[in-house]
Amino acid sequence: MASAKIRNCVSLAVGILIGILLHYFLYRYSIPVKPFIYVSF
Amino acid sequence: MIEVLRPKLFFAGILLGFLACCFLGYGVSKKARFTHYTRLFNAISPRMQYYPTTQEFLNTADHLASKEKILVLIGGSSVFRGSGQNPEETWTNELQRLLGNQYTVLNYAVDGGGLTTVGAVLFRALSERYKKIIFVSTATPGGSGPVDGVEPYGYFFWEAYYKRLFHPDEIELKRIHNMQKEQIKTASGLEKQIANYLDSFLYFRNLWNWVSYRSVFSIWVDPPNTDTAYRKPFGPRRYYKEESHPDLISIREAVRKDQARFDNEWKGYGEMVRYFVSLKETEPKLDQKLFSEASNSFVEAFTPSYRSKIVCVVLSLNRKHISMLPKKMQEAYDLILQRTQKDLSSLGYHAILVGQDYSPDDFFDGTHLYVTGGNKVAAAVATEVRNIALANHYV
Repeated sequence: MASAKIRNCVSLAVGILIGILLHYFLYRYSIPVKPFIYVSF
Repeated sequence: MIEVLRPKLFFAGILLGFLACCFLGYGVSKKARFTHYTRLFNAISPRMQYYPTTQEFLNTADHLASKEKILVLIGGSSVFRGSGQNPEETWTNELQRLLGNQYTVLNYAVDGGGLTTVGAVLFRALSERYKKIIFVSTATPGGSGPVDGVEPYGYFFWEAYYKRLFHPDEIELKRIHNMQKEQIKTASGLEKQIANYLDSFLYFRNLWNWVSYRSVFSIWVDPPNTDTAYRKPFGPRRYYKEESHPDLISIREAVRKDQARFDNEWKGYGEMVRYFVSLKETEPKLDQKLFSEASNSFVEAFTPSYRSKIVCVVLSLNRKHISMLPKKMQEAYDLILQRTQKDLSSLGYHAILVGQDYSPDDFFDGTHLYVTGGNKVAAAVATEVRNIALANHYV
């Protein structure tokens, strides 16, 4: 019973974490990979 | 591990985590702003991998400006950002001092920007919130560039467009649709369109910029030596403060002694003159085709209803550099500046030509202004801003 509850919690937690990571990857996808180099003061 | 997970809960978790981030992103988009804002400096700019959102700027404006006062929004390039001036002595500080309490001056100019970059997008968006608004930007002879601004700031226009932060009229909308059609033909353009479209309802840039600004910056970026005392690569960007150079004059002198740099600059300006002017005849003759193209970009940059509230500053380059060119090319350069001002004025912009009588000491290098030069520009702009305020019955 306890192990079933733990499995449920772990499943949900891992899922949530991946959901957050997916959102974060979209942010990284939207940022140019090439750094913006500009010589100024 | 996989066998331990329960599929239904696992996928529900993914959906829950993702949606929670979207809602959080939407929430922070309404309030995220820069604290102690003076201008866009390295730590909150693409130079250090921080791509500010339109809403961060708009919320900052809402925090600093008031609807009773006249909002003077500064856009354009690093010259107007105040590169070559310490943060407490920028030309925009002087402009604020000259204009007084009735006005709020906000410096949204960016390194490598132009008339249509960042500031122009914010001007469009803020025009819908602030009735008393004036936009001041640098304008260059080559034209205004694309309507969505120069890279890497193109995302900024599309973010505002897809999030409906400004409402273009029919003519502008047609131009925007044409730009979209053109952009999706290239991989980078398509990527830009998809990213900004997705961000308009998933709010990933808002959320993770907020995290980057307040808690932890997730990309390794080594801060430049000159800019800040706080130097933690993953440190939140709100802890970065732009510091003054204690001896800016020494830096300027070092720049001046750099002969290779000086030669590169004035020779580059010569190339620019040759591009616009035919020097084969006795009198320098402007290339009409190039100028009509440039003029057309000024037409597309803003619809006529905006132009009466825009000051375009055509700034001469350092005369010390220009004086290295043959006499005929110097005349040609002045002709280019005058023609640019004339074209802008004929389209309904308030165009002013400055810098032709500035001394080499007013400049930091060939392009950027030192404090004294900045103060001179501020005086010229203040006069123009007051005239526009009167003409539009702001005062």
